[in-house]
Amino acid sequence: MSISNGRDQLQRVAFEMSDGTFYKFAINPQSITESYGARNIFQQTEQAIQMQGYGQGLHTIVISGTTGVRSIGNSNGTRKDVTTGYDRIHELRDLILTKLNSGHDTSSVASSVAEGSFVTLTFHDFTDGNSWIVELNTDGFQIARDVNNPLSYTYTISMVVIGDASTPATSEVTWIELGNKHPSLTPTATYTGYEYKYGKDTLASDKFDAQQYTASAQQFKMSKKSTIDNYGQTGMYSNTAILSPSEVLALYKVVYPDIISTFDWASYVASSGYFTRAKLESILDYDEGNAGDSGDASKDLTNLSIQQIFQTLYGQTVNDIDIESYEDAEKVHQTLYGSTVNDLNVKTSTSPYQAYENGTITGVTDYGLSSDKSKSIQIIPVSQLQLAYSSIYNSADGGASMSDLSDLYSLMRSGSLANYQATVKVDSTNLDAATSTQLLQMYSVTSGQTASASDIGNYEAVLQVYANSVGGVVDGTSFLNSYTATNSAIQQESINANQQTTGTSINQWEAITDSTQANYVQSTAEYTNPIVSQTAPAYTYYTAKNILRI
Amino acid sequence: MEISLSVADYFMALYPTEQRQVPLTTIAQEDFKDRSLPVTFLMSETDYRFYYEVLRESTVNWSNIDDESIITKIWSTDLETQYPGMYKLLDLIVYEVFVLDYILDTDVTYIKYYKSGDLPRLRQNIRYACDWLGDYRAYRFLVEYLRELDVAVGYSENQLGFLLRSTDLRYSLGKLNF
Repeated sequence: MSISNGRDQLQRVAFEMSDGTFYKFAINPQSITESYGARNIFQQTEQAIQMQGYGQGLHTIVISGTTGVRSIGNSNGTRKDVTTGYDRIHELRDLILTKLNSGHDTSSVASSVAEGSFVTLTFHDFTDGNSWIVELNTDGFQIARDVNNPLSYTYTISMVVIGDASTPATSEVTWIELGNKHPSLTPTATYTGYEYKYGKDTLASDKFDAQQYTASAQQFKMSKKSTIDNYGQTGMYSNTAILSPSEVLALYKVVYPDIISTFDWASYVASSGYFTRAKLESILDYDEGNAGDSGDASKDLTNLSIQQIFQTLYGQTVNDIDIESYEDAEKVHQTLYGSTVNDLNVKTSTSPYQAYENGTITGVTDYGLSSDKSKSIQIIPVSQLQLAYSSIYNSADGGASMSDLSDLYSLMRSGSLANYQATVKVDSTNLDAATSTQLLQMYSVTSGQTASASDIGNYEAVLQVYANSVGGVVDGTSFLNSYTATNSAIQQESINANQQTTGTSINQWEAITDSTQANYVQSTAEYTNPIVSQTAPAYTYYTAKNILRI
Repeated sequence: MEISLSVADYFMALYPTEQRQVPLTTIAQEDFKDRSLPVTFLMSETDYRFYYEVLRESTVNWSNIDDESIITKIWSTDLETQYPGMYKLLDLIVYEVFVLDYILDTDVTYIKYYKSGDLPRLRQNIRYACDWLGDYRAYRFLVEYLRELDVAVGYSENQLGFLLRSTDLRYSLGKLNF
């Protein structure tokens, strides 16, 4: 940084002495040579050259130039009253000589300093922004005049840098250390194993620390992050911009399990998007009129719900689950994923099972239990099958999407409606026998263990081909025949709604608990989830992100 | 989602129809006349939904795009004026990859709209673009980036069944420390 008066910057060099003398070169030196010596020693042996290095050597600066011309006398023989090169060279010479004579080794530096006679010389190079404490080299200071150029004085100053002017000199530094460097007391113990994880007090307990969680949530709110994606995991948080409709729906179900009995979920999910778009933070008064209506206050979130909400939102990223709230969490999970829960503890799973046995709850038909009794009863509601049928056959774009099929699957597995078989036996107003058989087959194709995920993929593909071949109009029976004919796997499994009584193979749709393991499935002779599945999405993610850089 | 305005503009220019087709002008169609390889200007349902539900609702900022981004590289060429059809195809490819990244990174719920043919179609488009761009010395440098995207999408394509089966993608990918 060159010297500046606020408007202009000085791009030149100057000398400064510790007694306050400041010598500015009116004319910049014509040359500045700066050299850094190297303390390298080379030994030229017969086989090789050996080098020993001790770092940087002497840093020398040589400047040379002219201070300008000598003054020209006026008619009176007196010099003009201006500062000329003649004056400047003398001024410079006085400065250098003052410096040289200020300190002798015969007198100690300390006494010189005490007397005030010892001065240091600082060389400012404003152009490069360097300031050095310098001493004159043995060449010292030379002034040259030449007959070829009689009016100008040229000088050469050779300096050795002994330090940076920005750091204090050794004599100005104190080495006194305040306090005890080696206290006699026992050192204070430090918790080496203590590692704070957000929302989790590792020292106190492994329980969920709601206070810390709200604190960190508040922190994120302040930082305009809407939600935390990988709470409780190592590494930095990543944020999710907005809640997806399904997350909002799940959240809503947790908060209002009983308040609104009949609720239009579909329109709610559709409208939830508007809520997020409007950046509204609350969904408390949905469909309830304006804010401030009576009853709104009673629907405020309680502190106790935080963990439930959290678990709903972040699923299994929670490391530790409070057992007491696990029952509720299980309800949430069941609501979210239908009957695809396959890890239940005995205590909670027996109650719905008993409820089923007593017939008080018709909804629990196959709650992922291992009991043969529950598995042998597969109840398919007529309306659901009709829905399935129309969903698949009337699909405008020529095929059910994976989403359709998975929704269908969940609906069927939940089994929350009436008994299909009973209905068919008793009442055939809706369906004739052939159609019902056909729907039964449809069911076994689209759900349960008679069809794996890949089969459904094939199913979709075949459906597409078939729909194209018949011009978009699909006859259920003929299609099913063609499908089973081309898919021996389905054929072998003898389309049968009671196939699930075997219950030995892993349901592909429920394999989430094994998803990070490589389980070899004997029946299908393949790995449930190959090891590569752990890294493949990450590869996609990082590679694409690296190329897009958006 | 917050996105740079220029990127949002770039993606928004796709204007998919209700049939999820990306419309091309007559001039743009000229770019694809003399090739037998298939190229499909069709969006997946995921991309279509993303376009209207996320992209058009996203907030924009005025940040610059990274100089190393493939979008910057595409813009540095004269494709937009010389070969608008190919420019549009690259737009579609980048958009579809962006959506896939968004799913893996931010909102996994959109993954369920993928059909089995979507990612293979995207890869076919990428290969077509590579083949096409490779014929021009000025555009050849784009091929290496597209090839990497091809492989990247391929990884997800092979794992799509796994991803779809996951009831919670965050859990499945949890060990990756996203």
